[in-house]
Amino acid sequence: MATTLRTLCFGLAKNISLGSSTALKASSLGFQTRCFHQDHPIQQAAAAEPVSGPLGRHTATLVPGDGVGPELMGGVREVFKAAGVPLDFEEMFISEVSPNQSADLDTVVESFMRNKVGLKGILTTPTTFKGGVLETLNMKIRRKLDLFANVVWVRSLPGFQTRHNNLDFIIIREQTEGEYSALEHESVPGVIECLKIVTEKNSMRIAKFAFDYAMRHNRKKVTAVHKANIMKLGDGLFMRCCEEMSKLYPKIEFETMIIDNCCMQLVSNPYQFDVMVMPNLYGNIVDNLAAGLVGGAGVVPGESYSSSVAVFEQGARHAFAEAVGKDIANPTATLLASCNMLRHMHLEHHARIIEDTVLKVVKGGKIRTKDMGGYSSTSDYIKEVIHCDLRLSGPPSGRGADGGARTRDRRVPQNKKISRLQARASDLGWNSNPRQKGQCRYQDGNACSPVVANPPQIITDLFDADSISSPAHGLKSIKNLEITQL
Amino acid sequence: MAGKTMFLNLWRGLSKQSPLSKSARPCAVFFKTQPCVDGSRQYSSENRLVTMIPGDGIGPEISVAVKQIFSAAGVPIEWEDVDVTPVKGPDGLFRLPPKIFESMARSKVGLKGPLATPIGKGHQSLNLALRKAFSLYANVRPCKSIEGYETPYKNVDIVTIRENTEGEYSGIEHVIVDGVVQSIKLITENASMRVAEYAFKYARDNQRSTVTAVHKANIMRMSDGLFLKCCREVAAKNKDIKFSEMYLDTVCLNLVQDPGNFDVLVMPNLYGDILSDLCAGLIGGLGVTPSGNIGEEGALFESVHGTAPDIAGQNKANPTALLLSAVMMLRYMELNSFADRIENAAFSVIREGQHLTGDLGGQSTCSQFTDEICRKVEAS
Repeated sequence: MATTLRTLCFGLAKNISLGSSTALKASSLGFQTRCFHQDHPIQQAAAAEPVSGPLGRHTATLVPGDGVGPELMGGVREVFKAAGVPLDFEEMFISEVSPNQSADLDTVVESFMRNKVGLKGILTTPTTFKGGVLETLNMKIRRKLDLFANVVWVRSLPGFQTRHNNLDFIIIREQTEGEYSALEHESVPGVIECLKIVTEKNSMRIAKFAFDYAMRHNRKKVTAVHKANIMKLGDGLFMRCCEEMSKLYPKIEFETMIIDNCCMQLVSNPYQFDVMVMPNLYGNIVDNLAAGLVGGAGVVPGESYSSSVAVFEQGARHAFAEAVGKDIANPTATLLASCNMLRHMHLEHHARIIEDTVLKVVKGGKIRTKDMGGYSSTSDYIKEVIHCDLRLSGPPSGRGADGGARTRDRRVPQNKKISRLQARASDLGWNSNPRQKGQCRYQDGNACSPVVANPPQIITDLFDADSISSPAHGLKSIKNLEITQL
Repeated sequence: MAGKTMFLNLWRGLSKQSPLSKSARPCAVFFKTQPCVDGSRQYSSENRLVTMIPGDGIGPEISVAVKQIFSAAGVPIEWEDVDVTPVKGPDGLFRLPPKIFESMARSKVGLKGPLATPIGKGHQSLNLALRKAFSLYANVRPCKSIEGYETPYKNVDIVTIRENTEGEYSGIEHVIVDGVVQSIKLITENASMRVAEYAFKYARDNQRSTVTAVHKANIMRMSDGLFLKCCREVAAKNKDIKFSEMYLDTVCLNLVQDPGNFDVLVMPNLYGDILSDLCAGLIGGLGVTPSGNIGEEGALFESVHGTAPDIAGQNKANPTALLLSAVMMLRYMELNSFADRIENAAFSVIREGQHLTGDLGGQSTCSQFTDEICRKVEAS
């Protein structure tokens, strides 16, 4: 039975790459259990189409941001091109510090709404306030898109030593209200009131998000962080909402912690945390603090969600303006965020190639930017990622020099492959994405062969040597490609 | 009044400081008139009065330890112990006993052990009451790595100065409609100026080079903007101390990566609360972190750790935090030579590692630890 299954699977991969043989295709259709997110529009489109049809390319909004943002995004583009990611960016520059070149807020928001997914750099807010609108551009974007939840998954990078290693916890931050309400006024000269708004609706929503997230990723504990001993009503409401929500998730342990104690615990014993949920300002503090624990703003990716849009960015938001043009910024966070984006779009294969390569470069320790204690430049890093032995890669076959425009993102159910995947990920020291845990997931059909670093004989036997790209072949072609493109 | 002016002039002459703004004047007077300007009092035989609030739980043990060490060092201080068990007032509400206020009014300096906060017993919190009564507007916490008590963070030497009266802790909150709560963060120019001036004064008095204002003026543009503006104004008057400003999130990020880069931090209430505990975490927790509350009419030094009721009365408690707070107090009273002797003795006992209490990784009792410090103090 197992052999049949495998044959079928590889047959399918081969089949897809050749784009022929209807008989097997029919069976492959039957194979495709439908258990992806139904609410994902791109996924829906893919599901509705026949398997053989060309999927075309995905589109995502790209906001390069201020500071080193444009440099890093340039790096992401290069890497995407080299890895043949079937994705087009809709780039829009928006900025508060250089308003003359900035695109209109509505255009940017519309683009995010249309594409449902985007990669965003960091937008700087000028420190000097000269009157006028209190709301910053960041807040406006978050409010308009209703990006209520910010998720930062703090993980130690394998092979990069910091004071605390093997950290793995998730910070979930409410980011539409709280101290970031931008409601301030001067009651009498010299006395300023700043309003912090906490609503039950938003607190319930973020609490539910946190518990759902914990459930989906097999997490054991949710910690609500607050300052309800001082702000009895405001933070009290938040805490109460979390408590109420916790009753609906009896399998998940729930605890509360006061923000100052939480910060102290984070520096002395960060291993106790699993999933943390908190209001806006505390989230900002804890995100940065936690990012500092694993290596700084340059290595932690983050993501923001509304009910329909997902925006991927750095976990700790620093534009790093002093490094502009110096080519010293660390692109790790941005690259990892872009991988998360690809994964969100179900471009599993490409996400994995890039993520593994980035992790490998970090682990190798040869190429490190200044903030990680090395002397390499951003462009060296990007080049290394592109050049690095993409031992897993093998670009999807049938991809030409056009960067994979015709690549079809084939999806076959994962059965045994997933365990190999995980095994491989764990030898990199990085847990494989828990999004995959306990779920039926799809991956590229073509990924079947590259998944195995040294394909066993049986696999090569199954493939027609001329028509299918072996990992070695893939490697060669990706290098050639890179040379021609760069 | 004439005496006051004279003192002020004298002090101005000594500290070579440019004329202070109006709001700073009273506090400057209070700081410097109590300990005499020419330092003669330091060597006088006259004992100075200090109010001692032993506190709950392990409080009595550790305050006895501190007293023992002080007498070993021969510090010219007379302790006045006060009990802070709330008493029932004529209106039926529980209040702090009036004795504490009388004592503090006379001594102007207090040392306080940990207090158990009774929840929902309907009386005012002691901290809040004292803070109000003596306008304790600045909370100071020096966090310095302790040799012999290893943490992953080396070379920490940070002082956090926190505005203590307003900000997010104004306590003004209300429900606007069901399910919508509004909490008000209050920032005033007076309080911001006052704490900023104190930060610079502290930096100068303690040979610190830089003051960093921690803020979030990119988000709270007006309120934190005002705080920042005040800091800038004060910085312009204190050119001898370097001034920098940083976002709260950046500080958090950099603190855990490279705590050696920071010196004196000054900030509004909530940020101070968070960062002072964070810094305490860097050097090994609240058990080794001293704290002082500086006010216009006196100062209260305290240990900020819990009452540890589980080990109370077992002679296991660690008096380091209260002792270091008392050392801060001596510096505040300009009894610097005693402060240095006691501090060096305490640090050398911890460095040698022979007589450590359980929380520092040793097996000694509180009294063994105390005796060892006394021995060192007497030998020095």
